[in-house]
Amino acid sequence: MAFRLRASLERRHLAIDIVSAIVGHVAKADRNFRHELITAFGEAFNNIVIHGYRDRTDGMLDVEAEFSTEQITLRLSDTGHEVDFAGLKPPDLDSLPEGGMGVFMIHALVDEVVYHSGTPNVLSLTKRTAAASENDGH
Amino acid sequence: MATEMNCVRTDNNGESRLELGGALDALTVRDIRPVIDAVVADRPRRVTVDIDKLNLIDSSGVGAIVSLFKRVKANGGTVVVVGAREQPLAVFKLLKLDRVFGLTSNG
Repeated sequence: MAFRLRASLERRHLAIDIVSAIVGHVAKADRNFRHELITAFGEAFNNIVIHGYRDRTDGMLDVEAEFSTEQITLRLSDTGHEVDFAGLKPPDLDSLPEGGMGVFMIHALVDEVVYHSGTPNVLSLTKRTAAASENDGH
Repeated sequence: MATEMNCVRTDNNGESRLELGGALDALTVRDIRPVIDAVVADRPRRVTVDIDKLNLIDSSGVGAIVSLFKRVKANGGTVVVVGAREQPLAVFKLLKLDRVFGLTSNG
């Protein structure tokens, strides 16, 4: 399943609504799973629009979803600038930061984050249900 | 699921209440910043942020509420967040803000 839309904040709600509908196909996903996935996707979307396409308004975002009853992978492809999705340095939450939390949230909310910069840049977010993790012995 | 953001402010005897609904995120946060600035300028003793009708928040929205919290506190006031549930509650807990804001389910 895939969709393509303009990479602008005005399309954010539409993109989240589509991803939310796709998650409905992951049979073993509960509400928390859906909340966490759309939160992570939303932060990734923000970063691509705000940082990746910081000097462009014509950028496009392609989203491809691959899913089973127990897990889902979202692949976000864009042709903007490379974005630092490494998230190696988590924010100091005790200092009550007002920004810089998005990448941390992505890593905290999905099981696997893979980013390949290039043309296009491809960010893959994989989230497994509790049932999938149990089957894998995690 | 995602919708536009709406905000209703009421004031009573030195206390302000902000009722937020819809989505508070990178798109809509610019709409609430002037409201926050106005609340801070009035130096209320207590600000209650009711997010019972908020169905989506992202790090930008959280940043706006944290900004409100810091600025009101700097003026000697307090900020509490009430009514958190579903996705917003999960985000506040992830960022360890549930205790900071004295998060309750009603108020």
